[in-house]
Amino acid sequence: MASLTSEGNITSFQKKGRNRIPYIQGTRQSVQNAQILASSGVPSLDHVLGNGLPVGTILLIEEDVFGTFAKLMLKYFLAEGAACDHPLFLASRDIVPKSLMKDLPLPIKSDSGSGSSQGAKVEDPMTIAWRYQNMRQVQSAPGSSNSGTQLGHNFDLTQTISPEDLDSCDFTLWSGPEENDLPVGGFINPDYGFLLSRIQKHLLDGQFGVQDEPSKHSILRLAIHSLGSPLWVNSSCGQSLDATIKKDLPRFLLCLRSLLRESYALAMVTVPCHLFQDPAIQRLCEYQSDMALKFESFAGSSYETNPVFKEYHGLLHVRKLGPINTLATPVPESLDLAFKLRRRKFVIEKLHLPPELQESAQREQDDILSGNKSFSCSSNQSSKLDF
Amino acid sequence: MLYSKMAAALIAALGLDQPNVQSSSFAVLERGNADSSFVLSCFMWECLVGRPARESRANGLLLPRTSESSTAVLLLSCHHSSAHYRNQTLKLGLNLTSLSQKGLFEELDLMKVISESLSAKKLSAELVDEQGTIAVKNLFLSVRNKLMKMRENFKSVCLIIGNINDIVTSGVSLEHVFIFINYLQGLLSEISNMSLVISSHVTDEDENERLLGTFIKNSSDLTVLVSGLQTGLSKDVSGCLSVLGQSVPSGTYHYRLMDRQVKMFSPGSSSV
Repeated sequence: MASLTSEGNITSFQKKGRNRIPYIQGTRQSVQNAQILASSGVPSLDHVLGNGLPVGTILLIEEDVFGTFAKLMLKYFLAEGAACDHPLFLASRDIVPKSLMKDLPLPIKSDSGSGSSQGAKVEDPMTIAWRYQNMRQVQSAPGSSNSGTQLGHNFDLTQTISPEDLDSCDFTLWSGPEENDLPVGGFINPDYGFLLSRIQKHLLDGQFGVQDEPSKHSILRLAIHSLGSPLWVNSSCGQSLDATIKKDLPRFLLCLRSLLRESYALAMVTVPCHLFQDPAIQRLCEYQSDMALKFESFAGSSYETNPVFKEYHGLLHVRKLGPINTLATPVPESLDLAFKLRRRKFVIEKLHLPPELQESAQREQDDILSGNKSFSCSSNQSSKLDF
Repeated sequence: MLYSKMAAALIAALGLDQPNVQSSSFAVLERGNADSSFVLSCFMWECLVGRPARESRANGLLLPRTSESSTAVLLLSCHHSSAHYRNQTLKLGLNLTSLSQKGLFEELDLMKVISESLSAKKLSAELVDEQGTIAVKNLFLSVRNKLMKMRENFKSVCLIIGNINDIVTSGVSLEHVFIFINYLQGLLSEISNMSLVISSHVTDEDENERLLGTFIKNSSDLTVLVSGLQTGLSKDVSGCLSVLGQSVPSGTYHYRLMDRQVKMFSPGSSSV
């Protein structure tokens, strides 16, 4: 097949062999190692993670205290999949999975927020600080300067997916074992085995394996909500809750990672680490995941009323960014990350202290003079000779 | 220049460029959220590229002979997939795919074995028992047979095991893993010119991983400790690497992982 050179001339050069990496809607290839990347549903989070989630990996989210923002991340993850026509798989024992699917937000059609603000700045020239007119604007949100190459969508939380659109999506829900299911993996709590068996069967039936050749390749998005929560306790387990979770949860993540490595699939798993008494469980889960984040919400804490954090709803801690088929891992520009939830956007950005604005219009030296009458030698302050 | 310096800094820090280090056992322990797979990739680079290049230069040859004078490598990867190590070593200038065709490199991917054990394929049935856990005895026999076959064709062999703690995570008891490591140590005297490199992740809060890390460290000639920075992540420094050994001067280094290179330097100084 003839191809074009950079000057527009047609050459007879033919690329040898076929491209092994198939084109999948809603994904792109990494420049460093040709890894297929997909969006998490939050563009600013994609930038933190290195331009997207690598396909075949697990993103572990350590839930905030009330689980609000962890559940929100799952919604964005699934909504992004729905917008890109990716098949979805949602598992939860804490909530009814169907109710979460019904609350998926709709993507915003056009996002011209950043462009319009920059245009306004150009039209409003500076008269006093004119030397700073042409300086580059400081971008707080990661990745906002290259919004033209953004992978994912922005979503409007006030608008949810319509029942017709939801019916047209390819999704599978799991809230517990069914009659004909058989557990795999030899877990102490067989419910983990049931879920793993179901995932493995879904990967096989949907031809998501890297060796499979379906008519159209796609990415399976696995969302597992609150894995290891108290509702996962099985009465048949003889050991204590923590002892069971300590053995089963890392093993489940290891088995899941083994399945994903051979598939065009990626998983987002939320875990309520704040409920585990043994700190080793959190460490082991982070180790068995490819990437791990912790959401710390300000709700119910002293930070909620702290004026320093008045613009934000919580802090984002990057716990782990493992190397995926490469030597060096991408490191975010800043680790001081905070998130804020607006009606039409969920933004993760560098934590900035608010500017210290004085409420009084008086000059500072006037405040000193008016407040220090006892220090002046003369009682007559109106004399022009007074210093 | 054939001798690449991409992994040479790490090899020099570990003293592997010194002679008479063939029959040795090495322990690589990683702490926190640090990843030590780059150390194993450097070991593979040293066995397959570094040492043959040095020996050929010592013999006055321009090109190393990839024949019976080379070191063959068997990789048993438990935490990362085999594709991860292939891509990583490719960044260091080592093509494992072409070397495996010459018989110099073989791999056992335990993640693939676990994945197949969950499905109906059961291609590696001899490595998985009826409960779905890894059959350690069969795994040892498989490793031993491969090593002996490689030793017949090449001068020396090296067994590299990545993150052996994942065998415990997969359901095998800690005692069986101790016995497995003990048997592997026994291969060092059974097979001449053999090296053994075992890496493990150590979670301080988990007693099993702590015991396993201590056991591996005590039964090795040289220990490499890989950990992250205590203050978090940094673009200039990827982590901290400590070397403890009898024949090598102990030291603590900072390392930086770049796209195609591993840089080592003393804490607080720039790369040398």
